[in-house]
Amino acid sequence: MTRTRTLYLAALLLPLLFLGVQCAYLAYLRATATVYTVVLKAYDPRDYVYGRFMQFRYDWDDPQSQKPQDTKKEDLPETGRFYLPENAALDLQEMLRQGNKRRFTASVSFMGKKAMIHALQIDGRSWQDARAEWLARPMPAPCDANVPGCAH
Amino acid sequence: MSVHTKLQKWLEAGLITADQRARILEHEKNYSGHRWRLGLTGAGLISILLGIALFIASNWQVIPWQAKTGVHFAVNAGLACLIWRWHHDPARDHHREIALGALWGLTLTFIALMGQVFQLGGHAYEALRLWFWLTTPMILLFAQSRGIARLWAIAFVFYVPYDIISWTMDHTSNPAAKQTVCLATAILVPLGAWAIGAVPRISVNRPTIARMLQRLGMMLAFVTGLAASVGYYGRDTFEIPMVAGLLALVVVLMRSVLRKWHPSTDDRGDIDVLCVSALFACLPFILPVKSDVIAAAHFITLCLLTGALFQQQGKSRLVSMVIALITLRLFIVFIELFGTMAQSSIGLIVAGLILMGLVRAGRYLDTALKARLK
Repeated sequence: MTRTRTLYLAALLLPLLFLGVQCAYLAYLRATATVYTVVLKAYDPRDYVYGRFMQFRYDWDDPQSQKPQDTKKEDLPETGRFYLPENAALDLQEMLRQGNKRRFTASVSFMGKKAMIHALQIDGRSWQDARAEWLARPMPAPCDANVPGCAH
Repeated sequence: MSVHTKLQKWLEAGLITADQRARILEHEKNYSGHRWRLGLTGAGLISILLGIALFIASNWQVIPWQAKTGVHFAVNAGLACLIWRWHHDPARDHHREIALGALWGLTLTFIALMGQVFQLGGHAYEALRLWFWLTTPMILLFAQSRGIARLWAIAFVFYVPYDIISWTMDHTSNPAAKQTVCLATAILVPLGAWAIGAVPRISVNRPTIARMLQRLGMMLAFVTGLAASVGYYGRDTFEIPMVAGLLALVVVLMRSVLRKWHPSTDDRGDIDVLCVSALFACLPFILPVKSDVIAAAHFITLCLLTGALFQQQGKSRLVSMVIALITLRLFIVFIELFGTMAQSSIGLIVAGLILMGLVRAGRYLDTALKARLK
């Protein structure tokens, strides 16, 4: 009877304890792990269907990208995702797609071949500030179809 | 038609007595009152929950991650406590099942939340894998209702192939390896689900889960066998005739073994449906030809064979389903052959007549077969 009771209790507590411990471990890693700054570049093909996150490729060849010593490039993650609030994902994806105008970097720590992203910066500032500035930019005047050379 | 009118008609037809009519009306009156009160309470509860959800969603970015994960964990822990408390209380069976279903779902949302908070960038199948295997012991031990048991069986039958195929797609770019894994999964998962449902210990202790696994396994195998006919349209190039042949051999061997272990007529009928479907799933890989006619023949032959097996087992609903599928497929053959003709007025009339004729023939066949079953 006691054995059955223990089995039932273990089954009920398994998801709670496992996820609780994992959550605490991730929080500990986030607080203590060495953080590296890595330059990001656009990810192709982009996945608009997923939404709510920005997809990118780590640019390990960029001289400004930091990585753990004695680590081969093959042992580092190639792509990553950063979860964002609604609407922000598409804006940032668009900003990243525009190429050389802005420098995207991520502060990451490593768990084996996986990366935990701590923060995302654009030109050294927080992504929120950079996005706010991007949204407030002056928009080009509407194109007049009668004017020669107007691109549609 | 209202219940009053229906009862009056039944009374006039001599199906029920005046006393029965009065008792039914009395019962309906009491039940309706109860339903009204419960319905309004439920609507109120949903409204409150929606309000809370919207409040949290609109402030999501300003809530610290510690609060998000902490509150979520506390809700899960609270539900686990309630399940444990109501575990041996028959009066709270319904409550316990609701709490169990909620904890099951909230465990998945907690995993997703951790992925979002710690920006882990994992794949959906990894989160599903962790969720499924962490919660399976809890569901198998605590679930008593059909609802949760069926949901778990459905999750099992759909999650396992999804996980295997997604993992393979992520880890190899070799088309032959991908095709091998897809075909093996399509064949072995339904057989495995059926076999798990047939294990005496599971069928005795968890009969709903066992029955559901067997039914789903059989239907999944049948649908896979039918879907394989698309392979003859030649959109993909199949490169694994040897592997497919080997898998077909494994299926034949498994049929012998399973039939030996499960000697009942019903079980043997199920095993035959599973194995015939699995062999048909292998066929386009063994003979990779491009032909619309072979695709139709593949589909219809599998329907005919499984229909005959369902007929032997006395499963009249499945016989009807198979006849409907054959009728539909024959109409698709007509569209494939004379699709351009259907653009003209005569073509539309002919298409309509053929469709009506096929439906009538299908219904005639269905009625005749059902009469033979009786």
